Amino acid sequence: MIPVGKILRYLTNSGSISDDLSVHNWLESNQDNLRELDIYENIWNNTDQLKDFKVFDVDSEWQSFVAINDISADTNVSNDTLSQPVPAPKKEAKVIQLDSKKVIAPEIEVEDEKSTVIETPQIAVTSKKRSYILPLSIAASLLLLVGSYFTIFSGQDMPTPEPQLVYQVITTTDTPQTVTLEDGTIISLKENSELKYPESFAGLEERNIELNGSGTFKVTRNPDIPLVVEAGNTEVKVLGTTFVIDMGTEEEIEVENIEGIIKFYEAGNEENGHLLTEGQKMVHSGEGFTDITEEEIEEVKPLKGHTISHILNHLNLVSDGKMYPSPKLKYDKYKRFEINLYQDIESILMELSLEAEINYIQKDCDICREITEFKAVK
Amino acid sequence: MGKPDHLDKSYQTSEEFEALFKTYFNPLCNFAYKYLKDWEDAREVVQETFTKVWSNRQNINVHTSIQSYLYQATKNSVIDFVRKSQKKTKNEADIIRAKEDALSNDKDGLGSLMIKQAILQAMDKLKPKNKEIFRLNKLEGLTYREIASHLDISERSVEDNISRALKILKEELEKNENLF
Repeated sequence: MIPVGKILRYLTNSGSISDDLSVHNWLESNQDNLRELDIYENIWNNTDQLKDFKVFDVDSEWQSFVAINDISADTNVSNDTLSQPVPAPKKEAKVIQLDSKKVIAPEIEVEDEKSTVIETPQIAVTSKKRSYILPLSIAASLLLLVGSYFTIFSGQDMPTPEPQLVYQVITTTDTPQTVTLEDGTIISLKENSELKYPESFAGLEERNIELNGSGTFKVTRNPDIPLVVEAGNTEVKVLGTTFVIDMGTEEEIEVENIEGIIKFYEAGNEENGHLLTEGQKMVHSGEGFTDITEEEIEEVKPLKGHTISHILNHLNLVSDGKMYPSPKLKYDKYKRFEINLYQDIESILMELSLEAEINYIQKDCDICREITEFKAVK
Repeated sequence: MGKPDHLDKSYQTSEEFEALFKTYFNPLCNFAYKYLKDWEDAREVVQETFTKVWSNRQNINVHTSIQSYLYQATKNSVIDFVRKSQKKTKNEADIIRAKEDALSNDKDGLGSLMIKQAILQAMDKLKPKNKEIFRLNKLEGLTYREIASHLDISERSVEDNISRALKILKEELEKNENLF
């Protein structure tokens, strides 16, 4: 499974060429993935217009509808159905308060004559429930007393209060930053990263910190209190060592161990973790763990040609934004064109014209064009 | 959802009809608003549509899906409403005709509106921070950079949150086999 982040970047046209290639490889690896992408795209496109979707309170609308229409009298219901209460969950909920007055009052109160047919069996049902209320009240009171006894007198059953932790959060934008923790551990935080850590590790069984982004950790050794770094849905546990965590996204976490031994595992599943020795590098993605020590660069299956999206991005880039797709432009995102993009714009367009039909609106300058149509020549 | 498609076989009891009403009320109101441009009118039209369906439920036989049936029934109600409410000056008669044409040619169906409703409901499944970031981006229209600055987090964190939200929404929406 491909990380959703890559799909998101693909849908928002904000991904790198490598991201786009990953998505295309994923699409070509299995026909079902096309449907997956369509669903993602369908949801994403609909979220763009969410703010225009008005939501009426359907419960009160239904009440208005019931008031206008003769629902109960007109309903073609059997006796069995009549014994079922009309949906009135708020009234029903009061039964659990073990207060007979509160149970009965709202059920008997028939405000609308039309609902009499339904309401009558409801009263019968409620009366039945009332017969349980006294024993239930006694039972509840006993439970309360027994519970109170254990709470007051059985100190060992009381939960041990956890130490109050005060956290620090460091966020970097364009500049890396070095952070030193209370125990002397040094973390070099890279750009656009975030680190959350407790001000003090006193009284803790683990030194838990959270990372979102990339950082190098030089951990002060403490065999009694391991340091655990939570990164996305993975964790890295160490006693004392130096290692690097680099989150491509929250779903693609790369860990490189520089010295010592560390354990890299999915959060909450330490048994199935991997011990990384010095120099070892491992990545965790939706497909699980992959050792990338030997081949650091993912071998990308070469695809023939470029997608329209890629070509449009390239034209936009090399024209300094002067050539751009119309917001209304629709195109086949899976269609590829085998053309050489490493030439001037006019040559690219010339080569494309053999395979594609491209229409545009000429703007102010020579290469200022709004592309309105881009489709393969049949 | 697993709802039968024939009104003559289901939706006869108030409980069944209530479920039908609550499922489709908002998508139909949003559809009606597209042509009426007034939420109160849209609401009124949809209430009337359901009233007609309820009154005739024993005689209605739906040949397509209940969703298509309600969509078509609301379309007809909107046309009736427009005809009744507009004054018949020549100019207004032209507007009515244009609206009728647009309505007759409307083939969008309720699919997209049902998905929007499902997304809004599924957003409750998101964790608070996740939901807030997704809301700021999609409902408030803030960019990743603006959200990052507003919440004092990195842009990467914003993107991760949006990705996670998208994944969860997809999982939630796929539980409803009628949506896609």
